[in-house]
Amino acid sequence: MSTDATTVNFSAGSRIVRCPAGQIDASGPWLFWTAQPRAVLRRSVERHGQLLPVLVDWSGQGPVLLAGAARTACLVGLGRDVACLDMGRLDAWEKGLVYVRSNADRDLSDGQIVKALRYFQRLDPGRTGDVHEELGLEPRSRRERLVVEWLSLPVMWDRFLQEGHAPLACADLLAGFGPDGLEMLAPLFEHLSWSRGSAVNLLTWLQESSVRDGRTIRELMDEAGVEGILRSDLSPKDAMSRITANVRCLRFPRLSRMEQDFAATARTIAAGTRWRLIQPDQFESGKVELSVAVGGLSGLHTAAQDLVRMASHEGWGALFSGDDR
Amino acid sequence: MSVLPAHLRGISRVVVDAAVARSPVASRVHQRLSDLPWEILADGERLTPGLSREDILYLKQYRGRFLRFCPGTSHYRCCGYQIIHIGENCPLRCSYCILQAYFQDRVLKVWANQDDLWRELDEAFSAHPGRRVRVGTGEFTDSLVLEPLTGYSHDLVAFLARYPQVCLELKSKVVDLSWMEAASDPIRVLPAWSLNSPAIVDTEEQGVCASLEQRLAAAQTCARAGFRVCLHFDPIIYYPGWQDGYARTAEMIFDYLRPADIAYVSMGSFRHMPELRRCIAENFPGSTYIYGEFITGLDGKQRLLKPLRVEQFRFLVTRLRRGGLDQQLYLCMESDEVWQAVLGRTPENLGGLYRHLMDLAFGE
Repeated sequence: MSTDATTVNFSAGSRIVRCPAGQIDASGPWLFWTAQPRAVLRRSVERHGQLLPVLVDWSGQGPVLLAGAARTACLVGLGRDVACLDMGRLDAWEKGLVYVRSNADRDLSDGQIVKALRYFQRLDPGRTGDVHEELGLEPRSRRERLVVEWLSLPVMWDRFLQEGHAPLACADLLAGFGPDGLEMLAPLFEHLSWSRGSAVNLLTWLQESSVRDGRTIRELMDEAGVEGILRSDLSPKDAMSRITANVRCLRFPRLSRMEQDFAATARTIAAGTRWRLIQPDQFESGKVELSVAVGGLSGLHTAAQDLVRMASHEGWGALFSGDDR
Repeated sequence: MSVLPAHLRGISRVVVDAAVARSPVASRVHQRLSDLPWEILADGERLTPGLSREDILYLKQYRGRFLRFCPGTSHYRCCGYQIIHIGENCPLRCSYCILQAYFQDRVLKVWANQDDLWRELDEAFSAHPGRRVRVGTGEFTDSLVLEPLTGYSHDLVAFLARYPQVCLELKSKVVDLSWMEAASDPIRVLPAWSLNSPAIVDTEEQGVCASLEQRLAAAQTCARAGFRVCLHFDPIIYYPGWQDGYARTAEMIFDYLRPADIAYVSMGSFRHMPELRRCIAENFPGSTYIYGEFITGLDGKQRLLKPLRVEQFRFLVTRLRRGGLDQQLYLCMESDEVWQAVLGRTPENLGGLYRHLMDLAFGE
């Protein structure tokens, strides 16, 4: 068996052995992405038996599983022996590599990649880059950069990534917050699953407001009422919308106020009609866009009459000029 | 040889295209930077990739068009001036500078094939001797920042003296008046300085530009010599306490200049492409004005929310009007709505901004 850091090959000494499934130690931390075997695999193993050996290191007292956890689990359930390919004595780094390579055709999620890299990071933080390509990270790609950034975060954040609560795209933003900021932000990701765009916006607005206004993340989140929203019985979607809107108000106070004023006046003008009034360009042009959907002539006549009535409303001046009068 | 100004002391190497190695510009640079390494690029050879540093001065044989229109932008009013392209990049380190996002590298480039420039300008200006033209060199570089080395503006002023229909604006943040002796008619040259609030000059112009006092004193010198000057409040930046800063600068103008000394004053709010914001955040992490309330303008660039821009413009206009300026005031890249809200008139009321500024430039 080669002990080269990046090359682990079969040697002439590799051998196939059989042992009872329950005898295999399948608790190694290098088994990064194990999951309950799928029904199709269970059925196949039950009907046709084990067609491929699992990989083990049997250099010690008993076989230590290196790869093949799903097959082993099936065979444990069936109480059968397991055919193992004994790879010989491997160190912890090599065990991790064997597992990664035996899963080389898997399409790995960001969370899976980070989980594997945390293992290698604990063994030798200076060498994790050696494994990037094995994990499908293109050299100098955005994904690689973000993964590296993510590894600078406390390990507790990995769960948020793995559970889909925090997207990898946030890595560099999160890394910029520092320990206190991260501690304040963690509750946001505990139970809420943020989309990439929403999370990036939220964190960007918080970070920029903090830098611009010289305020801590705690102060900003207090002002945005985040804690109260998280404790409320709002649905996750509504809670995220409320938090996002409140944080946006902190980042863009004047624009938010103008949008609120516009919406209130537009509602008054269009009350009782099917017309929709929007400001199309963040008040840059001072224009108002009106739209209505009609299904026939009668609807068209009604919309036209509504428009005539709306045109005499005194609120239009405020809509057209924004607040730069 | 006189001591180089601080902003030129960082140049550590000169690269020259062989075709322009004996040009007047190259000879002057060679004389003034005789102690620096001097590398000549053979015809067809390019500057080595990776040499994208601001400490390199590259005297280049430029093959593109020297005379071009200001790129302007859609939906907003452009002053319509024409650019004489004499080089790229600038050794001054202003945090807000568009050039850091506009060009691929930071190499200081000078188009040293002046004969080609003269030929192109002569063709353009001789073809329409009756058509007035307002030109400037301060779009892709500072007009005067390399003047102690190249004497470029001196040459240009001397060359343009034979075209009375051309008015040249030299826009800068440094003080170098060596070009003045080449100006036979002060009416045809408009020295111009960028102005900002003292706080912005101190924190965002990184200390190697001339101070506000020096810029205005230089403008005063020009005015006393019969030149009219231009002042540019661009970019106006929104930051806590901006009122005090811009009020102070407006006051200072009239300590040095009479309204009649000033051809025109432009005002432009800080606007940027998204790439520039990234550059500023990376290169100048202390520059927090980039986190203001910017929206995407009608031209796709980021602009300060309109009411905030209008508030700043109105504030400044009020103070400049108190000093006696009015018709000379114009807005750079703004909509008619903003013009109306700030100045109470639109470019149309002035007969068009292009024509209005042309009249002001020619003192009419």
